[in-house]
This record gives sequence, C-alpha cells and structure tokens, in this order.
Amino acid sequence: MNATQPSPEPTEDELLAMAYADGELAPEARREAAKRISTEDAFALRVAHYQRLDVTTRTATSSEPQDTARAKLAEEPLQRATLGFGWVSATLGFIAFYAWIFYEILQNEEMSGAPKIFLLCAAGGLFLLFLSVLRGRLRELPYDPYTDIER
Amino acid sequence: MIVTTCDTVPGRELQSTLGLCRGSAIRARHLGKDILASLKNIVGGEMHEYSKLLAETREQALDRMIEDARSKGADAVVAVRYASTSITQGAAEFLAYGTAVKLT
Repeated sequence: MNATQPSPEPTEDELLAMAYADGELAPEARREAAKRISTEDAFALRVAHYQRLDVTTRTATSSEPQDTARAKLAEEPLQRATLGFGWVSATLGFIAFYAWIFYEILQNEEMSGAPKIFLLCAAGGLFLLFLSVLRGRLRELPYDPYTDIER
Repeated sequence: MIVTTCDTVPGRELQSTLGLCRGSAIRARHLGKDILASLKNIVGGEMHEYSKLLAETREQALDRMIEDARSKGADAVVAVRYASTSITQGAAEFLAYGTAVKLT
C-alpha cells in the first residue's frame, strides 16, 4: 500500500500521523512521534500527507472569476502548444547558445591554457552545485506540505 | 491552538504568558515561474505565481510559530503579527510572531 494513501479503516499509524499533523498529541507522545519521523520514511510521508491536507483545507478559498478563465485557457490546445513549444524552444536555444560560447572560448587560440582550465572548472563546478541543489529539492519535495497552496 | 491577532482571547482568561513565539520561512519559486512572472510585468494583471509564493511562505511561517508555541506548552498565541521582507530577488520571507499564553 502506498504510504500516503489512507486505508478504509485508519490504522494506528494513520491515527497517530493525523493527531501529530493536527497538533493533538501530548508533549511526550509528540516527541516520540517526532523521533519516528526522523527514522521512518513511511511514517514521515504519512505525516506530510496529513499536514498537506490540513494546510490545503485551511487555505481553501472560494474561486474567483479569473481562476475559471485561467483554468479554461490552460486546457485549450493552442495555449498548451504555445506554452510547450515556447519552453522547449527557449530552453534548447539557451543551452545551445551557452554551449556555443563555451566552445568558442575553448577554441580561441589567442587565449592561453590556464584561463581555459579556470573556465572549465568554474562551469563544471557550477553545474555540480546545481545538480546538488536540484537533488536536495527533489528529495524534500514529497515532504513539503505547502506546495498546493494557491493564495 | 487558538491563534488570534487580539491581545486577549475573548471569553477566556489568560493564566500566564510564556514569552515570544515566532516562526519564519523563506521560499522561492523556480526559474520558469520567475520568467512567466517577469513577462506579466509587460501585460499587467495579478502575478499569481508570486501570490502563491507569498501564501506558501506565510502558511509555513505561521505553522512554525504555532510549533514554537506548542513546544512552550501554550494554549494560545495572542497579538499575532506578520512581517515580510525580500532577502533576495524572486524569494519571499515571512516572519510570524506573537505571545504564547496559558489559558485558565
């Protein structure tokens, strides 16, 4: 069973996760639950699921007219194609442009070897840092209960 | 947990104050949303990408303040206030603070 999907009859763990998310546990029980969150992934996911429900319910607002218009527009094929093609085109264009600049600098015979090595180190280092930050975000995303809030 | 901007909790008496409780959060949206929001500058209208960012940050700061109050053994937080600033471009910071109290 998926850890975030509640079963028809709530298990003890689900009740505990709900109580934790709602702040209904006594201090000692809360400390115990917090300890479990740091050691049990499945329990941490359950708590995050109920926190997400709590936050989404708390911040739910009635729909405004422009929400409906925006939602309808997002479903239109022309809008989806425009956005999709726009993103793909812009992303590929930027990557290709920077790759070309990079290539031109490396091919420049007037430049000595040292600056080229520095450039390679800087670009490679930045890329590794980006991957590290991206990996961190992807790892914490399932536990982030605030991503569904709209306003 | 009762959370109110009033200095008291109507209908209840304050037994004791447990001190300041606060929570802060700083969040950013991804580059794609920043690009779309900056294009909104040209055509006008609500930047709902940033409305969402502010709402997410506000709620996270509020939850952290409540958690701080809970750890102090409070029943309520009174005189709650929000403060907002911009740490870096494209990110939002919210600070939620109030007074943690015990009720009779």
